[in-house]
Amino acid sequence: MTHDNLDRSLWIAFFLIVVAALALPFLPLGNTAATNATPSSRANDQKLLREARLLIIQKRYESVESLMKSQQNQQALLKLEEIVRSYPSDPHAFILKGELLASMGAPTEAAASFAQGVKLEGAYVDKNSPTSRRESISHLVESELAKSKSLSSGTSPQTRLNDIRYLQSRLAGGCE
Amino acid sequence: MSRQTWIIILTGISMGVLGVLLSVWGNPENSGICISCFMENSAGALGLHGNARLQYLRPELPGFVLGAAFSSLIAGEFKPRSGNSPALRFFSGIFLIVGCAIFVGCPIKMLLRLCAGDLTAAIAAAGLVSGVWIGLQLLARGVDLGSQQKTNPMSGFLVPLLFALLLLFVLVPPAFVIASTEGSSSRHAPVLISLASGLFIGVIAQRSRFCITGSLRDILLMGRRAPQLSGFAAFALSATIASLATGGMRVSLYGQPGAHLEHFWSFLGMLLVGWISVMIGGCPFRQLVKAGEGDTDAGMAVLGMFLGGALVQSWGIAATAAGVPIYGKVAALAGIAFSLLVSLFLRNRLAD
Repeated sequence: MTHDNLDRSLWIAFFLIVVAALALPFLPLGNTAATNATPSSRANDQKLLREARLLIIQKRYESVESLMKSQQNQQALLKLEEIVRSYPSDPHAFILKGELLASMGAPTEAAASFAQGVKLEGAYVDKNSPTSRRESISHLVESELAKSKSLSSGTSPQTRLNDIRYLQSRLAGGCE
Repeated sequence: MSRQTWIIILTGISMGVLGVLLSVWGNPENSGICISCFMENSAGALGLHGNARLQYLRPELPGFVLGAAFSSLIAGEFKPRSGNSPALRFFSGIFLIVGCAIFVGCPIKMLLRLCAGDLTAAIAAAGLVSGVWIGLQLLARGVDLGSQQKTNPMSGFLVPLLFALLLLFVLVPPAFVIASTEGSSSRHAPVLISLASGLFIGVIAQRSRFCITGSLRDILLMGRRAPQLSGFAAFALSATIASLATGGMRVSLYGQPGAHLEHFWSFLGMLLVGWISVMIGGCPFRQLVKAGEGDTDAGMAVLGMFLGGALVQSWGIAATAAGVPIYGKVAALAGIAFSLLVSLFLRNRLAD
């Protein structure tokens, strides 16, 4: 591998380049402005996006939350429908609608709404997410599964079970 | 029993037990070892796709490759070699991950899911066996991607060096490496445990040549005489016992972690994986191990797998518990069309 002077020179140059490349991140020689402009801030960007999302949720659903607190469920549902029309890909509306429908005794519709919300944003079944609704979703899934067991297997409507099974699978974890 | 058979059994037991334990230690359920999931996670961590819930540089991956490289160097089996269909192997790697993404898991995860009572994996297992059988039939009828020759050492070291760089990124994460804070990628076993498990499995898998599709191929060819049968059985038995012991066993078709109910597509996805694996000489895991041994053909497949990991997320190909997206179905069919074309154009008809 070191047959002549050229080989030796190439090896020396190689080692110098490797040492320089390894040392570079630790030396205060870089252009910090350029470094800050690189994708190094991706994690920060994602954090900012999450925080922004929480603020949007807070602002967008403030009126719905207050209607829900004052037990004005029908008005809250109408408000949610209005939000869904304006922001059809916002999962939070579907999750809130699911919670409302579940509390109003419409578990099939609640499951469909929860399923739609979780399909759009999986964080709603994450244990540690600030937007987590794991508890209310798993409560609905458990009660519906218990109901479907008490019925003979042939009588449960398939569409209702599909949403429940999807939510059950997401609650079980695994890869997405 | 020969020494080699014992090594194969040890590999099967280690992979079965560690596959379950890595989930107990923090990896997502039934995903203690999953090459396709790890590829998707790692591609995301390097910024190759934008799914913020699937970004984590899995230490197991460099562990597998570097463990195999270390083992082959010590045993004098590090042999830089290459064939003459690099582009085909690269695309095969992409379609391997497509097939896995349709099922949600590689053949190792398929077995782990099955051993944890996930009955949806049974139909995928049938698909994998069918794919291996189709691949075998075509191999017997002359389909061949070309023989390998010895190549320069530099080529053989490139993929292990790439994974050494990834290991460096795991240990000293640079700012551009992303790690999910939510979703399944935020769940992982401690780094050093993952790395040690990966290295150990890489070493023994290199010594034993263990491979899920390779085992199936040998069993289809030789029946009970196939030495790989013992490794396969040891994997299944140990994973089942470990699942029972750790409380991970739940026999059901429904509510399984990361599983969907589109069985036809699970079957087709794994059929694609089995077929391609036989064509290129090993499942996704075996490609990693062979790349560690200096096999540049496997290295091309591994690079394809990396790109595949990025594409299945970026292009909305990967299935989820909700089912298989339309682009995923198209991609699976494209993979089968690709395999058919390879079989048509790389067939030595004199072999008939």
